[in-house]
Amino acid sequence: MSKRILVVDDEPALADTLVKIMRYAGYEPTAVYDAREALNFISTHQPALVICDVVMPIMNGIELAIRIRSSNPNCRVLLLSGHAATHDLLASARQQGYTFEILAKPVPPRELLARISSMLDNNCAAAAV
Amino acid sequence: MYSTPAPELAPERTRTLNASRTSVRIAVLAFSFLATSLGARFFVIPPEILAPVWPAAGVLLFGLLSVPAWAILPACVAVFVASVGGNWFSGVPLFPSIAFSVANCVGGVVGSLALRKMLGAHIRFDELRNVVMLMVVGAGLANSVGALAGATVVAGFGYASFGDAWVIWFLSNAWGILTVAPLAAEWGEIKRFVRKALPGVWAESLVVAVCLIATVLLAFSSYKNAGSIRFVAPFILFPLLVWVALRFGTVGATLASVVLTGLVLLGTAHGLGRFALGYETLHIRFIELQVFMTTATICSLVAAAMMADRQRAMESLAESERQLREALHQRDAAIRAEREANAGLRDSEERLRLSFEAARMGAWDWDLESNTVAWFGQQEVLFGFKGARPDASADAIFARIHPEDRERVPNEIRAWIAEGRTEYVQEFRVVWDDGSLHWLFAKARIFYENGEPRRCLGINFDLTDRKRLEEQLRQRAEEVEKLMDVAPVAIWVAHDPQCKDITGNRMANQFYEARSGENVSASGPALQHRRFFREGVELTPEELPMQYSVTHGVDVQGELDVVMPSGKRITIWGRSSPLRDASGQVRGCIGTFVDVTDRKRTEQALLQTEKLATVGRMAATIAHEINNPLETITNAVFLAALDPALSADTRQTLDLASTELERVAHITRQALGFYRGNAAPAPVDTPELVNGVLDLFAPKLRSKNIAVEKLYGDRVPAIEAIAGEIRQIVSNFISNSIDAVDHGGKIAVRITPAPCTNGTRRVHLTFADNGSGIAPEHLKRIFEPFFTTKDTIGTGLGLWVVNEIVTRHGGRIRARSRVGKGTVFTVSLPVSSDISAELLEVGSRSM
Repeated sequence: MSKRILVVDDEPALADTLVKIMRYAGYEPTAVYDAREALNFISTHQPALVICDVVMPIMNGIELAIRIRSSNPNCRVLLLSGHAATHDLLASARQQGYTFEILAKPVPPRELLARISSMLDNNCAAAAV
Repeated sequence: MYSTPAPELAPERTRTLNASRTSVRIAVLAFSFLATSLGARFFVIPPEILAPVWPAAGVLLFGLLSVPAWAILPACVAVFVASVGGNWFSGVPLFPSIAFSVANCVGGVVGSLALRKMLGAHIRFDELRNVVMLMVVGAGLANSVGALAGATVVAGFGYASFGDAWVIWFLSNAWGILTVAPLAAEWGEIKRFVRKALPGVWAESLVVAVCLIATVLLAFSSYKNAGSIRFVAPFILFPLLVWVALRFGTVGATLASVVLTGLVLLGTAHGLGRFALGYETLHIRFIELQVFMTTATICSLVAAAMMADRQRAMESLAESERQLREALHQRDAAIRAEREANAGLRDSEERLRLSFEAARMGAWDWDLESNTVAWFGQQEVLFGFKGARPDASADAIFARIHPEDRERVPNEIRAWIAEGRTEYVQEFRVVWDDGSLHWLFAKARIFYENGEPRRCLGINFDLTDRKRLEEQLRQRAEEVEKLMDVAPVAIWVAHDPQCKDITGNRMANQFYEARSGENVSASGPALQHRRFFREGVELTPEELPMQYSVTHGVDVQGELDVVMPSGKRITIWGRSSPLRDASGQVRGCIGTFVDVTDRKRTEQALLQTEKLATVGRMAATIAHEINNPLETITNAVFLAALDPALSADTRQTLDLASTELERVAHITRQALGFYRGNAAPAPVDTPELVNGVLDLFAPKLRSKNIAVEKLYGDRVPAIEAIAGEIRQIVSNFISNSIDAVDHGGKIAVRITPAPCTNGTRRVHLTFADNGSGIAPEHLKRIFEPFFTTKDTIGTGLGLWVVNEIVTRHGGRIRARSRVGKGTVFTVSLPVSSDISAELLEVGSRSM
């Protein structure tokens, strides 16, 4: 099981701290700062997990997640958002047949790591969420 | 025709006067008798001793007719004395003289008495009737008695045979009576003729006189051998006499007779003329002469009388004609006057008819004895008869009255009559021939005679239109009254132009906590006083809308806060408008108002909600802006703590930072939670949500030392709901419970999955407290908006919002409470709800 994780956030400081935490936990994280870079990276490196901010310029996290689902069905996606008003985005995704879980920022690092661990350990869990 | 004694003379004086005049008359009579007796002697033709004519007989008759009755005897005596005197003067021996005088008087006395008896005194002889009577009675019967006496005397003394003597006596007296009496009676006419006759009449009288004399001369101028002319000529006298009689009347006839007789006698005495032929048959000749003269006299007298009669008849006819004409004229005038009067009457009748018609009015005259009624004007129309009414009886008319009034109308009239009333008015209905119903008005007067009712006269007119108007008016009034009663708005009416008397309808009284009909005017002597505010400024009574409307005559519209004597405060909105009388003067006003207190509160609540939403949106934006750096800092603190070279002190500091960061994160999360945004339903973990809310209330719970009991069932399914709204429900219940319980109170929250009913899985959330509880009458109303028992701190919206949210989620709320024991609310929510977009929209608005 690959431990390659992609962190996508338009705030480089945040993305970078997350990369450091992932690396501390033994994963192989990479940070990119917009969705286009993220898509490029995914197509070339096939990460096992994408941790993605929802509110981003150019393309939001949910759109990105849908694209990943269609192109890389095995890739897990974990969405983070500092904004509570993300119901609309989730609802539109659900209409297209996709269900995502969004974690509200700030996510305590230990909780985040626990979640990543469970997601990567249990392949079926992703489908269930 | 005859002169009558002047009426003004006293009878005594008249008698004295008459006595003196009668004495003169008697004297004249006696003298005339004597004179004519002596004169007649000159006409005695020898050897006869008797005169062929005896004018004294006429004088005596006329004399006795013209004196009063009492003077007849003295007159006879005077005549007798004169006659004896005359005879004695003529040399007649005394005894025969007395005898002759008596005989002479007898005929006159008998004749005059008989004529007086039949014709009265003062007879005139220009009338045929009188002339005939004179002839038959005077000259005929009475004269024959006189002749009897005379012939007896003559024969007694042996002068002649009785027969001859009687005839001669009779004829001579007859001539005298027939000629002299009328001449004397008509003597006044001769004087009038002489005074007044026109020259033509004089000429004619002259001509006829000449003709008469010429003829007499022709007949009596020749001797006995003068040929046949003497036999013929006397007869020519007759037409001449008739001419005279016709043209000159009785006077002319008698005068002509006198002249003719004179000339004839003169001629005959001289042996001339027809009657002078030989003496061998003397008496026959003598009688022949007398008959001729008498006949001539009779002819002319009768002709004159007939002429006079005719004249009078014609005059009478003319007079009658004149009278007739006058009568006709008067009749014409009368007819004209009557016609004019009738025309006037017809005019006034026509006017009356038109007036009745125009007024649709009729009149009647009810004879109470015969119980019949005469009708005038429009009565038939008013009672709806198509033709004439069948019967003039009063009962037939009463039968026309509507069954409901039929008894009442005559009964009332009878009662009024019994009271002795003289006037009355009545209203009743009649049913027409065409079946339609009409109201009639009657005004009448009753007439009594000796206390008995005799007649009743009155008028009727149609009231139907007025009744209809009255009914319409009544209906309008009823509608207005009903409208006032049922209108869900307050309506006040100011009844005076000073607005001192204002009453309101039911709603208005409810608003003002006033009794029905209470005067609530702020300008008047109101029982209770209310205070009025506009935008917080207190108003004087003059500034109130209705008062302003009345004073300025304008419509006023606006909002007003009213504080009741009880302290209740309401906001009313409405309009007032002045009422005007017929002349346009303001007489009062009407104000209609609605209670806008609730709307006003809603507006304020909405404003508040809007403010909260704005704050929420701001909080969310801020939270988002905070959350990203917070994540970064949290991560940074985590990474920093990973350094094994950290001193224990630094590590402790980093742990503190970490804890405080978690607190900040929690606060922002909660703040965000209350902002729903455009939330869509999502799975909500109710225990987690309830815990979050309780966390939020933790400081309050702690300060009141309230124990919270959590009873969460196993495997509570997540419900599909809008988390923010569910959170609001929970926080409202918790907040209410905190307010309800005392210090150290208890609140219990239970979350249990409910048994599956008709395919719907549900979750029950129960919130219980041991607070003050809710009174049963309040319990019914707790979900109404703005219902609150917490006057100062409550908005009255909390449970209403809860109910809205629960309903929208397809849930139900049950509330149980007991005052002093506590309250239990149970919310049942379906696991999967189907919240429509519309409901969402409503929900967001209600917030």
